[in-house]
Amino acid sequence: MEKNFEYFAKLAKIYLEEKEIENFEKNFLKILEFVRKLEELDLKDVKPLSHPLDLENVEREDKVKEFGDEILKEKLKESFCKKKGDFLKVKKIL
Amino acid sequence: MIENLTIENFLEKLKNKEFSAKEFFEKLFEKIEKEDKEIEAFLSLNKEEALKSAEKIDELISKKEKLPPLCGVPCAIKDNILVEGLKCTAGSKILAPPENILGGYVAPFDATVIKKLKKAGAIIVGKTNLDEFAMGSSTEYSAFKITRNPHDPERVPGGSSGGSAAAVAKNFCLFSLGSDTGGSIRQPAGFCKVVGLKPTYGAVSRFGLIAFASSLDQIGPMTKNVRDCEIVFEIIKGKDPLDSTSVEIEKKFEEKKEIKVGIPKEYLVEGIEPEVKSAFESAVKKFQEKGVKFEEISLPHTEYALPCYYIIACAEASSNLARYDGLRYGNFCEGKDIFDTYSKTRALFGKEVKRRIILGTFVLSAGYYEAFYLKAQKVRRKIKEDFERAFEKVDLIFTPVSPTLPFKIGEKITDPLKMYLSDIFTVSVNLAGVPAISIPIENLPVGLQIIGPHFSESKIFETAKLYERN
Repeated sequence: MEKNFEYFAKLAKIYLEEKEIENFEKNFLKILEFVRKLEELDLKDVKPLSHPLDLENVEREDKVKEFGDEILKEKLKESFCKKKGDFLKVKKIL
Repeated sequence: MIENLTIENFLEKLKNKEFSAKEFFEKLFEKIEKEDKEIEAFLSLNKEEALKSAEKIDELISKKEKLPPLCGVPCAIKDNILVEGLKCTAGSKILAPPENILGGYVAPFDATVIKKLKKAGAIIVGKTNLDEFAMGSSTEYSAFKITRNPHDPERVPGGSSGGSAAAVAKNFCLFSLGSDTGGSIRQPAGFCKVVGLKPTYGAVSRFGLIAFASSLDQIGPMTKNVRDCEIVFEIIKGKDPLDSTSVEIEKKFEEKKEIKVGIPKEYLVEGIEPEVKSAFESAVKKFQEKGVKFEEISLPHTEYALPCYYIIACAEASSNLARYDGLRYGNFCEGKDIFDTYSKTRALFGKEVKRRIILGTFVLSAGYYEAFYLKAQKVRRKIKEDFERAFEKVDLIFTPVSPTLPFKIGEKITDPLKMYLSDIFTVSVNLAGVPAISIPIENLPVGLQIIGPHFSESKIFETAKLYERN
């Protein structure tokens, strides 16, 4: 693996302690070796399958739809870590 | 009292006023509070609400009103399914900081299955323990407690729906709900000697189930016998506008006198414990005595199912669990900027969850996507085709649920690969989206897995009942 475990932990936005990394990396390499078993198969003309049933995409108009009532809205807001009025407050992104 | 009851005779006795719902639930909570200290099946109890609901049921009965189909039936719910007003932890510190008992995520609405159960009159006793985000095969990866196997407290109850399986086995409820992504209903059902169904993908709405791997997850019932499993499945199944992958079961299976069952030759090979093999063989004999015909079949891609499953399940998990950013719900660790906040908050995930998210991130990342994720999706098609070909020849497939008996607590916790191998007989079913039941056999903690084609639940129930009629 060219990129190390730490790199993918960063991509996944998971902070790891120095001492955690070594143990993780060891098991990670073992698991990778295990899943590499799929390389034995010839899959040249096989179409990938992303879903077990033949379902079609459900599309709808891009319109606001009401879900639940005011009480539900209040409850959803209660879970916010920080809020300002009706809005979820987050640290600046740019 | 609850020990000898099934759903149907509970309802009968309740209607005949052999006991009142209130007195039944008071005794039930007494039992749970005493006996769950040893087993730790529950993460939280819903005592106050349950007793109130029981009183309402008693009123209905005294007024001789029409009673709903699961009127007063006590049930337990895996703690990754939302029940309005109750804490929902998914077994994770990220949703419920243990150091702050008052904090944590409270479900703002009911999952569709819960809505259906409540409408049917069922009463929720509590929320059951699970491996964090349903990732595990022993319930040891719960951030809060270790659930013990009711038949041997030194051993695991299986997982990830270990709490739900143990609650049924200990008679803390008449049925429970679990979720199954790679065997999480069937394997603990087998280990705890109860019945568990992983329905056809789409048969039951996933709305309100905390997502692990969306193309594999299904909610299903865990019960004391097959009839109860059928009753609960009939209530929770059906298309739901809030889950666009849910479907209505329309397929009818013709009544055939003779049932033809296939036993895949790939399943009875190395790694299977002799007790499991011999229990499976004696169960097969009993079905033969009832006129079921058996033949050997082949599911040639069986050995690729587990690596294929871990790639797909982890990929989907890495995407699904991206929502735990500490902002909209759950625990929150403030960092110096937004990315620091994300990664500090997400450091609260347990070891196994971190491992799977990072593995999933890896298989989806540029440069590795084709070699891992895309390849796994192709193997998934091969596995599905294996089943399709098999079901051209046979009606159902029998396999053991797990290659081993329940293992000791702590035995596999340090070796993730060893733990993954617990699911070797169950993951193909989720990849193919087919339904499968686990029924306890030979009075051992061994499950027999009966697999059918898509939407063949009724056939699976009928066949499973043959074994109970011994």
